[in-house]
Amino acid sequence: MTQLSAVHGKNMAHKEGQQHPIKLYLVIWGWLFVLSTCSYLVDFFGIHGYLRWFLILLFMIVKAGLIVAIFMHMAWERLALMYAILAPPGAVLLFVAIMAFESDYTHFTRVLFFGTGKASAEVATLAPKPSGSGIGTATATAPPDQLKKEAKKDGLDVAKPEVASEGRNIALPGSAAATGKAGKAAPVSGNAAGVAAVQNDIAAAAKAPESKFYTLKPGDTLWKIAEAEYGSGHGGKYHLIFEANKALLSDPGKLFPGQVLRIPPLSG
Amino acid sequence: MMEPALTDTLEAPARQGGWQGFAADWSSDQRAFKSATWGKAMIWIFLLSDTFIFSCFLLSYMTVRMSTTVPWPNPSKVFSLTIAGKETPLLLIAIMTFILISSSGTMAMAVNFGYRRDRATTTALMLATAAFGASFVGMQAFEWTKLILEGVRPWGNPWGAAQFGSCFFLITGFHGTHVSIGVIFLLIIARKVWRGDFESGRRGFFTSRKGRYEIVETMGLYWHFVDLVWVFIFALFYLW
Repeated sequence: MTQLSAVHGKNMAHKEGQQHPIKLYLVIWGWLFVLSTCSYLVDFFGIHGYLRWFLILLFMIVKAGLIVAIFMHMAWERLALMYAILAPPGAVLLFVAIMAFESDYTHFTRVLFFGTGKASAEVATLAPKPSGSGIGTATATAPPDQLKKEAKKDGLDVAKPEVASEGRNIALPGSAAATGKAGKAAPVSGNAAGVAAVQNDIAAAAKAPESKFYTLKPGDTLWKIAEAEYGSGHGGKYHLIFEANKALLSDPGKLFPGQVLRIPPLSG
Repeated sequence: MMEPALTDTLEAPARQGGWQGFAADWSSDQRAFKSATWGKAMIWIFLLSDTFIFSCFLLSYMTVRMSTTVPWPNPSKVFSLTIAGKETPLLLIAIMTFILISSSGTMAMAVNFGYRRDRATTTALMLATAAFGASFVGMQAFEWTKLILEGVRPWGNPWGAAQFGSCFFLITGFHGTHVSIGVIFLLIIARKVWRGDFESGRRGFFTSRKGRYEIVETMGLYWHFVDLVWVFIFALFYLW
């Protein structure tokens, strides 16, 4: 073997395995530590949104690249092996795209299905796309504070008017002492600047005595509320709560502390 | 004479690189992977198939997570550790990540020392790799115990979407199995290196064939792959 190596020189190098200085491995090792720390810090500092995705995927790809190229010695292989091994996983990316599209659609139909009834069409148009591609929604409505002030002026007990100023529509949850006062809240809000439509969901206390109300706390999920309100094992009934609060909630996953949800009675 | 290939009896013409070399390697009835022995080509192909398995798991996880209307539990909170009364997000997972990266580093150096015929150093580095791997599995067992005691089951959990449990147990369990198998094989091969099997030409227990130091690199490729998969699990499962 050694004589052959001498004859063939570089050609035989691969047969005796790869020889690289140890320093190379130590440097890569160090970089992997740095990159892992970076991706951990993304979570530690609670970076969210597209920046989080960008950073996480970037660090992931660079780490994977370093491991495959240096630690696994792919960088020194011939193209024949490189393409045979690295190209097929590319097909997985296509698969990812297909499934992302599919699950987006599944989510959409689920929201539609859970929210059966007259308002479902409205929800369909109002609800922003779950994965965040909410391009079509116009922003810039009346500032929630302004609405609140207007409501206060009229002595209305509107609990949280700021909750659902999604798009150009305002939803008014909460309770008013009487229907008459509840009816007043809508025009008040409608008069505020930038409001296109008002969806009046204020339940007058006199009208719907059977419904309970629940103020969201941090960490709440519809599932948890259903378990608490309807009894253990009834978490699956969370869609009743979602349905009853469709005007307020665009998505069962988007809850904000302070929102007041109507808890419909569990029938049947 | 470990490689009695016909071409080795004469000075082989230098091989082309780039695209032309790629076409030449793949064309006609010959061994396509000139730079890799059959053993290396086979472990790569095995790893490729394993890639698809893990891809399918991560893909189904993505699908259920994106399509569920029930809120997904926040991994940052679920996997946080409370140390000295202070809650640190994802601490255990971060430690596990660093341990696995360290094991990859020691493994890469073990391969290097193996080809230098430095048996003592190779064995020591492989044993260090195995120790890192074993501690990783130990921490995973701790994590599983913690979550199971908190009520996480494959069919439900206290924080939200039921699919969280099934995805978690399937993905981390399959990865942990890979690590465990890797640790066992690391120990077996470290013993062979230590005993000098690859120099004495001692025949393998199962294969009845003589081994070569290349098996250390094959082992290394498997081990780095396990680390590689963790990179993806860490990013997509824990940081999403």
